[in-house]
Amino acid sequence: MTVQDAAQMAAQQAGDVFSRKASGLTRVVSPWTALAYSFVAPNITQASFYLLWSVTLFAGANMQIAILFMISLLPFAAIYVYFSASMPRSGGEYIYISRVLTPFLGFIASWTLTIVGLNWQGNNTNYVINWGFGHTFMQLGLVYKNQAMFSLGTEMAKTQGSWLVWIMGTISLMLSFYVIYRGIKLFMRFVWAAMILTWVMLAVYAIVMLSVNPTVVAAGMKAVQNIDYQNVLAQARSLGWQPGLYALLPTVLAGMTFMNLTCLGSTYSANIAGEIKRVDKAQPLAQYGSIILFIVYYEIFTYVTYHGVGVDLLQAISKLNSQGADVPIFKAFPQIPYLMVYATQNPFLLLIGGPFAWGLINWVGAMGLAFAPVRNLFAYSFDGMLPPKFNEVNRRGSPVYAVLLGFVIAWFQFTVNCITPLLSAYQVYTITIWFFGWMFLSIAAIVFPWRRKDIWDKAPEVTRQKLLGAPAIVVWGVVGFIISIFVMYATLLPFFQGASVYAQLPALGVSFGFYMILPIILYFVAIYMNKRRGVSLDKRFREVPPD
Amino acid sequence: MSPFGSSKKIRLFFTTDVHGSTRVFKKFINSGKFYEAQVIILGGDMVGKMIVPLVEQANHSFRANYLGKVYDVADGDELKHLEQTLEDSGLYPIRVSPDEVRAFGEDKSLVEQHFAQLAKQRITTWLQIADERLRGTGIKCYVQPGNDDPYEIDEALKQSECVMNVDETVVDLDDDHQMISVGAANQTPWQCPRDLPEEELTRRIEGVAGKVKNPANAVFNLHVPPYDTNLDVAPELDPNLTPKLSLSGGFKMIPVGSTAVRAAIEKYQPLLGLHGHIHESRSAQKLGRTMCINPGSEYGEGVLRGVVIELSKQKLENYTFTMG
Repeated sequence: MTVQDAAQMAAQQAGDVFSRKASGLTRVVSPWTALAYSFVAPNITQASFYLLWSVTLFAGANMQIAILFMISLLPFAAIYVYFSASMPRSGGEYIYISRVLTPFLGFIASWTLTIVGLNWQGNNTNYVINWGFGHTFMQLGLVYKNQAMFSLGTEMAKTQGSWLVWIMGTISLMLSFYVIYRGIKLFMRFVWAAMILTWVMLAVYAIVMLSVNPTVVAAGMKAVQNIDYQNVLAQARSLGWQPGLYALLPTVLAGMTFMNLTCLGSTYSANIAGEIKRVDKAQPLAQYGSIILFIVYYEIFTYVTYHGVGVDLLQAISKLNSQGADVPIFKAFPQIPYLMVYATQNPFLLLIGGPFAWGLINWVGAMGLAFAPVRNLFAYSFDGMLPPKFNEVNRRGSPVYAVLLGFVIAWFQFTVNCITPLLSAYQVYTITIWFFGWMFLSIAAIVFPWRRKDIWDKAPEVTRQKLLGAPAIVVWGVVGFIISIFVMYATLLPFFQGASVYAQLPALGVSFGFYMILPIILYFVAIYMNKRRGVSLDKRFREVPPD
Repeated sequence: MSPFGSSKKIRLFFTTDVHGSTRVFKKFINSGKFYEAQVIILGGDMVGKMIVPLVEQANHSFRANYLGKVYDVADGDELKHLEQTLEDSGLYPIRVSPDEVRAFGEDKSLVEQHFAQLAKQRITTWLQIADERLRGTGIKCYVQPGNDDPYEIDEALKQSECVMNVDETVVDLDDDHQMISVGAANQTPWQCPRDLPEEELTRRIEGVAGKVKNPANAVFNLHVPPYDTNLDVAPELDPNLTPKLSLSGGFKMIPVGSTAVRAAIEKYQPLLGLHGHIHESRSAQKLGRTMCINPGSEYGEGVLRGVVIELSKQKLENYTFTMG
């Protein structure tokens, strides 16, 4: 009995086959639900800092156009559509790459995406404390002219060297992992609450931003925090910012790196492909539709922000932040929701549309990033990649040791962030790593029709579509491979040409070492350990000859 | 005898829910040699779920429409290849005329009749393959029908020389370990042939468990997993058999295992519980001292999901999930 037989169910619904009365087949979910699922997965509210960071790393980027380059995710969406229709199983790229290429590459690709999730929970914890709760206290301190409250906020907004941040973050992480430990039911309640808050926050934020303009904000800066708008622009100019500079290449690069990073995770509907009705319609709707929705969300957020705050101030803040010159002026990195305090001093609007709501949403978002990876650690243990201890569950069915391991990885990342900016460039390399994984996915797509002819031959029509006279999955595989290489190059570009090469070198080394060397070591240790247990790892994944 | 106890180990390979896939069944038969196991066990649900009509056309070619793909194949090798591909996925291809297809659509009892016949036929073919391959190897092969399997196949299962139907029996795996087997399940929403009320399931399990000499050293091969464990998690269904959704858009997952099985395991505390039934709930979990294992199933893709288990005299030495 399984819902994984949905593909067969779809065939039955089409009237092409006859199933038994007691078939064990379920009716399955609608294409629209699949779309909703794909849209829920990534945390779109982080548009608030990507919009700032990308314009300095890729000077001259026009962000409203850069957002449109999220379309470069469509080839990968297509690959997931085709693969998920032919192999409707949980596990996503781990399954596809393992089956088509090798289990080793499947593990490497899956490992990178798993550890990205856990490390990002560490990063997000810093963001939640610094720019969620820290900025909340700063704003309230300014509104109520309460210096103690403002100082508390600036302490919490310190990116390094604050014990308060470390303690709060550690508690925050412990609470997150407690929710993960309690299981999916409780976790999903948090997710749903965060979803409602995301849209409420955007609505409130948009109303506030549309009700002001840069002149009002400039006056607000002066009145609330005694910051001179023109002086901010002048300081940024002195550091090399050129207002009105727009160029195509940085726009493309920003779009394909940071904008894409915001919606990574939209492919998750492929993980429930087996349970979706009419896979030929549902997967394209979910995979392509979610990307379109992200673009719409991002464009609205960007438009209202530019309308209220102005492009110049955002670009200037971005430049100042890249040189560490923003904190002396604003007393903390002025992430976009913080700027609301210059547009309105209504505490209710600030809480609902600003950093407080942002912090809560991102706390849940961080939890979401770790939830699936903890399950992956559990699965690796089953597959012999990690010791059996990590697949032990308690009476409630919770994988205690996998949860603990996930906590340690996230907490390590968070703690390093509290001490040193060593991994501050990490975010950029996350994209590198992600596309490294997708490079293998693309290769798997290219060779799929020949390397797994048995699966290809019985794949549904949606998978076997043709494009330019060749199997579409092959064409998109080639495009995806080229995009992967280009995006990896684009993320490394600031490193190649940046002034702070030596500062970024350790981050680059740590990122690649952890993601690529550690899994290789783990893989070979697992091979050795399994051999000692009597069934070699290779044999565990090798196909038993049927004939 | 060694003063430190026996170092003798027995290796088992367990799989389940092959659902008509000839490719997976052949792999199962070969698994003993491949994983160097002395005993191979198939935990139930051997028959497939669907008939795919190959409709004869005016030009004597055949047309099938499966998963949105129209197959137009010529009689001969092309047709045989298509039939084999469908069979390997657990489907039952049948050559029919357009009139016969219409009759199938109008009279559902015809589907059930054909289904039982096709299932029996395939089991018979499988057993011939098994006998050819296992004869003289010394590998013991135990199978049992699961809740999804019609009773018509039981007769076919008696024909084999090397494959033994162990449903509702006790067998000796070696000198130290016995195995009881029950293929029936608690009631499912699909009213499967061997679905039973929990009380009846309890009675059947007790009927065999009571005959075991040393339950603490036994293997309980019970198709349905124990209730409320990691082995029995499946989406909750509404009356239309549609999965219910959670607030976040995911599936609402609930335990669907058997309370009778759980009670039996908690009562007898055997060394090992072998289960299947819930394909997506691949897991291992201890209930007291008993390690309960469900290796899951991916029969539709021709993948043999299983678990290699090593038992020493009084201990489960290790278990290793496989994907072959």
